Amino acid sequence: MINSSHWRAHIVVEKWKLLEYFTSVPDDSQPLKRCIDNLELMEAIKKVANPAAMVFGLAILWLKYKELIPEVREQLETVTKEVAQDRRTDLDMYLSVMDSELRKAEDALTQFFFLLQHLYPTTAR
Amino acid sequence: MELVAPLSEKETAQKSYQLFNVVMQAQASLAYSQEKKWDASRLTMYGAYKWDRFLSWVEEPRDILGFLNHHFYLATRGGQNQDEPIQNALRALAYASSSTTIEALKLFDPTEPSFARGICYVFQDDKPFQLRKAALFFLPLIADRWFNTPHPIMEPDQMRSLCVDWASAVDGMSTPTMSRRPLSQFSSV
Repeated sequence: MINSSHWRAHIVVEKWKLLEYFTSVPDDSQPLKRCIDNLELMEAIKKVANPAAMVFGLAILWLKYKELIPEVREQLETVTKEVAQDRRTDLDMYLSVMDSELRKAEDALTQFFFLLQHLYPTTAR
Repeated sequence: MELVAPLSEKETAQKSYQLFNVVMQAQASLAYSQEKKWDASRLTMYGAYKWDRFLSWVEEPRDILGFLNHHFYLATRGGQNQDEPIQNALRALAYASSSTTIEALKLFDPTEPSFARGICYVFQDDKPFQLRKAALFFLPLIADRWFNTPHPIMEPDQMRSLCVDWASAVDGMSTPTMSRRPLSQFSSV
């Protein structure tokens, strides 16, 4: 179904997660072979609203790397780099948010100790 | 009872399958109307594929496909409840097909509109669990000629509905049908 441009658009978004069961597909499966040779599939998976589609799509292709045609190998490497780059950006943003939140917490703690020291000068340290 | 009671499920199923083939090959006549023929075929199909513990291997799927087509027609055009005979026929094809059956299925055109309409019909949300399950397992046998075509075999609305019903049928399976571990368990994907 995912190999067909007619059907692919109608697949229920959450069901892309079923790709995780790809290991149940026999190695000599012709539909699987058609999917991994399909140059348009990667671009189509990029547009799927479910991020699991891309994660599983890439995982399947990497596991089948030796069987891929050169064009798909090249595409796989390019897309993986793009995805990794995006993830890098996400990670940087996440670290920067964490850093700023940590700084806010430290400031709040300093202010709290300052207030405590002001109210109880003999006990607060 | 003396004649019936000693029969095991296996014998009942095998004899019913043989009888089904005889019934389907028989010519309708004044004494043996077409209606009676369908009644007999439903009874024998029930006997052959109702049992979970034994299903007769389908040797030649043509008669079962003819039976299935007829009941798809009655259900989708005639508005009759034909869930039971359709379920039995789908169980036969989905669970008891040998490599010979699968080869023979290649001669059949599953994209024919009334057949495609029938398959979509049995995937609907309100259909019994066993019927949807049999349809789910039958679909891979015709998948190549449904999905691997240069032109779509049905209208976009029908495709959308089928995809939604198929997804709901998958969700309806209470236990995982896949025998191997999912990909997500191999790593942190």
